Amino acid sequence: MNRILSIAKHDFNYARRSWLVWGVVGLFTLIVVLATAGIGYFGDDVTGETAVGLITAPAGIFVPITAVIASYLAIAGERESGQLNILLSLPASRLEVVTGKFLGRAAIVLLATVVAFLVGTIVSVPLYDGFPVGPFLTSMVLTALLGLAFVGLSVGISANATTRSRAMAPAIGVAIVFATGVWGGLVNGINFIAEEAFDTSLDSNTVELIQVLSPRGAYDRLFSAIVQPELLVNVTEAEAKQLGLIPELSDAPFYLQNWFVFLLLLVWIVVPVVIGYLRFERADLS
Amino acid sequence: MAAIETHNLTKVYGQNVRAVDGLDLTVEEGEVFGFLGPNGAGKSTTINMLLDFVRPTSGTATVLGHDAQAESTQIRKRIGVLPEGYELYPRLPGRAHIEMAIELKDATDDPDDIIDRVGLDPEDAKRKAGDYSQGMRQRLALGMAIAGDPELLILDEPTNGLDPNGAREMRNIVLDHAERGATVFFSSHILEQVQAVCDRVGILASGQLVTVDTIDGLREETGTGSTMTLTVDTVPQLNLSDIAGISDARTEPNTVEVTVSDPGAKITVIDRVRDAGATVQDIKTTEASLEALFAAYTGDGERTEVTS
Repeated sequence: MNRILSIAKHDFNYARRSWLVWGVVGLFTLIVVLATAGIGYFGDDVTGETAVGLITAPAGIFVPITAVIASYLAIAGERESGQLNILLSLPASRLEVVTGKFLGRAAIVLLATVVAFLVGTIVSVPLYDGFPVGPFLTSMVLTALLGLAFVGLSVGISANATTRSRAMAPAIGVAIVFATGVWGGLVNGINFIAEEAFDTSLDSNTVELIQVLSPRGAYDRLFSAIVQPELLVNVTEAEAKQLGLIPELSDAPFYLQNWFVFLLLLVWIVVPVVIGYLRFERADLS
Repeated sequence: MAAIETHNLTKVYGQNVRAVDGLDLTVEEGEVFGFLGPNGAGKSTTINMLLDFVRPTSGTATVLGHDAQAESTQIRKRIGVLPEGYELYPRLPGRAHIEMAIELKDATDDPDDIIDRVGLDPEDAKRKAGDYSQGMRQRLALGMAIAGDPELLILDEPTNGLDPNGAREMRNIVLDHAERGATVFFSSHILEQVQAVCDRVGILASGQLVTVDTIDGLREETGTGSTMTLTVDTVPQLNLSDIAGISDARTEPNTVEVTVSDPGAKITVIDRVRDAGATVQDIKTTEASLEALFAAYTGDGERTEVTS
């Protein structure tokens, strides 16, 4: 355990010396501030609730990008350049290296998320009449989980790749498919083909399940189910459910319940790292 | 217990590239062992298997009594390594590297002490490793290796890329560590780099160990000693064949050339020539180079000689 923390600490210290990582973190903070405070500044009738309600659009893309950039070279880059030879010459097992790297990069992404949301809060509180700090910080926690899922994916990819370039393509692919609307579009596309060509349609619960199988889908779903009800201003909760703003959970199957969707996010955080580690453990490194 | 022991250690890449082929090697505790061979002979692959970077196709390797594959972490707690093809963390200061090594080895060394031992300037140790020269990089990497006072040092081409001065200093640091009682396993493709420091050498060619011996033993075994050439006014009638320690004798107008395997035979030859009535005007001896010896074993290169 000590060695894992030691690797994580050194990895964090190393990653935090990269201008690229901090450039992305700075950009992300700026985006969160613009998304929350900015729209209130430009639009007179925008409430704090609306501002918080819109945060998932930028955060849902930029946190995954930050996480991928901060993590995809964690192991592959060192394997190609040779720092890994130094690290593995010291008494560290490959499991400790992968775990330590994951923790180091996770710390970077968590720090970036917390800084962005705290700065967003500080700027927004004086700007809005009753800025909903609680729901905003709940979104921060969800966003951090989303970020961790992409750290897990990227570290897993990195552990499998022998070179930088071999880590880059899948990392970019993962960011595009799972962080943008591509996955959702794909699901809707399949549903559309099913309706048009086969005159059948997927059950709406099934469609929603496929949506939440992607980390971004899970994040969006949890946000609507947990944060959105706190942000209603002129509509009742029943009306919001009818409008589809908030999911109806009382008659939803278990796989659409919050606990299960949380579990799916945790799976994204852990499973790619485990798979990446298992392949890395068997690899010849030289 | 041997420091390093391999039995039939073999690594095959692809279908039939036998990088290491049935290696049986024993390195005793406390010795400085030179692992020699031309580039591509399989030295690094062997070392990488000792470190569990690469898994053997067949055969076994133990380091300090631990199985190299199953107990790699235990091994790496007790050894220091200068690996092949390593890279430092360019954005981290040199000192942070040493600190990381001390931490991971759970050692109690003072980083400044190690920095001093490997001859790295304390001011340089505060600089980013990305700005280091090759010599500084090697010193720092060696510093990481000797942290925690390891019982065994495994050094893969430690003098690579160093100027002669740097290489000598590197060897001195290694000897200094060996004097503390550690075993040293030192690979090189340049025999000159190991002959000064090693108790024994093993020569690897095409993945196979062709010989293991002391440097002197190697010289004797191949029968290459030194050659002495005497310049004389006239070549007298001579019979040198009965002198022990002479393997060859030739005469030409004004010169007598003998190949001696025992240095003590030289003076006997000179006396014999003078007793026969010749005046010796000049004496020249040439040492059979170990490079030539090395080439003879590894089957490449020409015989070259160094005048001593």
